[in-house]
Amino acid sequence: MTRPGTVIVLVITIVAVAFLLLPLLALLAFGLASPLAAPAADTALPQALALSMVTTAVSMLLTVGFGTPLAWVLVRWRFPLRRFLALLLQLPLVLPPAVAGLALLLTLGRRGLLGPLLESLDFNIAFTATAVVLAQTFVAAPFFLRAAQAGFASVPADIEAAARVDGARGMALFVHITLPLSLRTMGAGLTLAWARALGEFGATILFAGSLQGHTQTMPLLVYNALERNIDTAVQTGLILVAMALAVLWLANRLRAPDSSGFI
Amino acid sequence: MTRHSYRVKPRLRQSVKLPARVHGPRIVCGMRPVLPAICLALLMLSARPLVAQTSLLVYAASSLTDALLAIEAEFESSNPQIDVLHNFAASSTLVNQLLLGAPADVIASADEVQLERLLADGIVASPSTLVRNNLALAIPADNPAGLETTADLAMEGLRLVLAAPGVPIRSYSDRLLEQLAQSHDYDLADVMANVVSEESNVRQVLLKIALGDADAGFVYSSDITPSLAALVSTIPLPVNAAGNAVYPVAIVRGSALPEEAAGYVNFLLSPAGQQIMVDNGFRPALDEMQPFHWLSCMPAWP
Repeated sequence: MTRPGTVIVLVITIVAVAFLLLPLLALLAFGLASPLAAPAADTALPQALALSMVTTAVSMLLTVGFGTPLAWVLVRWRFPLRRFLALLLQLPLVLPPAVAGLALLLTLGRRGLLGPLLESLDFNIAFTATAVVLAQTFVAAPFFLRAAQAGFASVPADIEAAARVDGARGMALFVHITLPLSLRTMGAGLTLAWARALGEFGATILFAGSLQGHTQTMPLLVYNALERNIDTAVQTGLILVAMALAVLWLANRLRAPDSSGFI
Repeated sequence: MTRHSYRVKPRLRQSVKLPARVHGPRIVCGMRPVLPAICLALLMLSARPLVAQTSLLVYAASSLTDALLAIEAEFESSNPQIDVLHNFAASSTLVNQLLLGAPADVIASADEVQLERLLADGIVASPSTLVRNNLALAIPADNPAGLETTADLAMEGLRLVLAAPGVPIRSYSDRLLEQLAQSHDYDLADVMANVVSEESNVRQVLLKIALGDADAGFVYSSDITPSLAALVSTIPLPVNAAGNAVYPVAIVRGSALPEEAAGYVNFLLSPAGQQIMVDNGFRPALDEMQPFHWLSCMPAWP
């Protein structure tokens, strides 16, 4: 004998699961049905894949290089408006990407805030892979920053104090104690940041434009290919789904079982 | 930190848990039907406008944005029961959406090639010519690249922005570039090597120029609206090459509002509608002549 409540919950569950998974199955079915000769014919896909890999790799290097010290400062230093600054730095997480792109254009574009300065240095960003990297870093870095802050904050003060008693100072304390203890959390954050950078669309198309082999990353190719060859769009989409799946798996593995601080 | 937790925790547990056990279930029971009811009410509200109005869905090329918004104001004032909604995008994008089954009542494309795809699929029948348009080579007002004539399009380092292949303005500008390459003494490949971005529609091309990030790009002359005149200027194009964009309009066959759609299209093609299009920089549908001749025909319009 089943209670009516159980039936309702079961139906809602089935509808919700179908809603979330059916579109991905449709993409897969469409991809499997489409001719396999198409990817070789379209050179845009390998070019976009290579561009996406290179630009996201550079974005992640920038994110770790700048984000790690910044997260440290936000967690360990005490200064006025620290919490407010930390909150502001997370804004790109929830900002619509088109707004991020517009903001970047108004900052680094030729008529932007820093435009005259960049012009005088003969440094041109718009329509280059540099613009792609900057757009990706802008929207994705907060994922890593958040995780690194959570990681540093979760290192017990007692352990650092004990290390100090044993003579560890400054950099040595960070490299041998704090960093190893927060590495998992940072890794999970970086994985999610990479996924966000890989999927970046709105800010890129506004700020970097779209040109095959130069600024056309995988998501831009999906959008562009829909105009002329839906098979290319579907295949590019499937590659992105596979990558997203791998990222999700990795991020969940890296996340320590007791930390529920983010996502 | 740990020293505190021994003393604080038991006290917190008591003060929080006790009342929760007494009042908790009763509150939840009372709330249960309220939230879904609110959701349902909101859904019904969003589905039904407060005033009895029918929405006419118009798919239009992005270059028609300003003109059709002006048309909307005029049309709705004489047809208050109709609410015109627009979907502005590249004609190629709109046609793809319609081919995939998107609902629409009227489609206005910036070229005949895209509309023929719909004709072939039986999605529209019997299109009429809505307006004609001229091409323009737009540059930022401060002309950072020092472009003077179309001959300079091949100069090294120029940042040229075009629309993506398939977008009508791209088809028109490709044809124009071929003509220019023949009349000037340069290789088309040199011009194409200057392309730094392929934008999703003509308004995106113009945006990149208005912001000064691109040095030049092909748009329609009607795109350079008065509000943009301070940011964008143009390079003169040969007359025989510039005036060839034809915009067809058609009623979508599956339209749920065929009568309202016909009324809207009739208004577009009426003298009043055509005058609004002319005010917005287009050439009227009936004008088959080249750009500089139609000026003398103007007084013929009421």
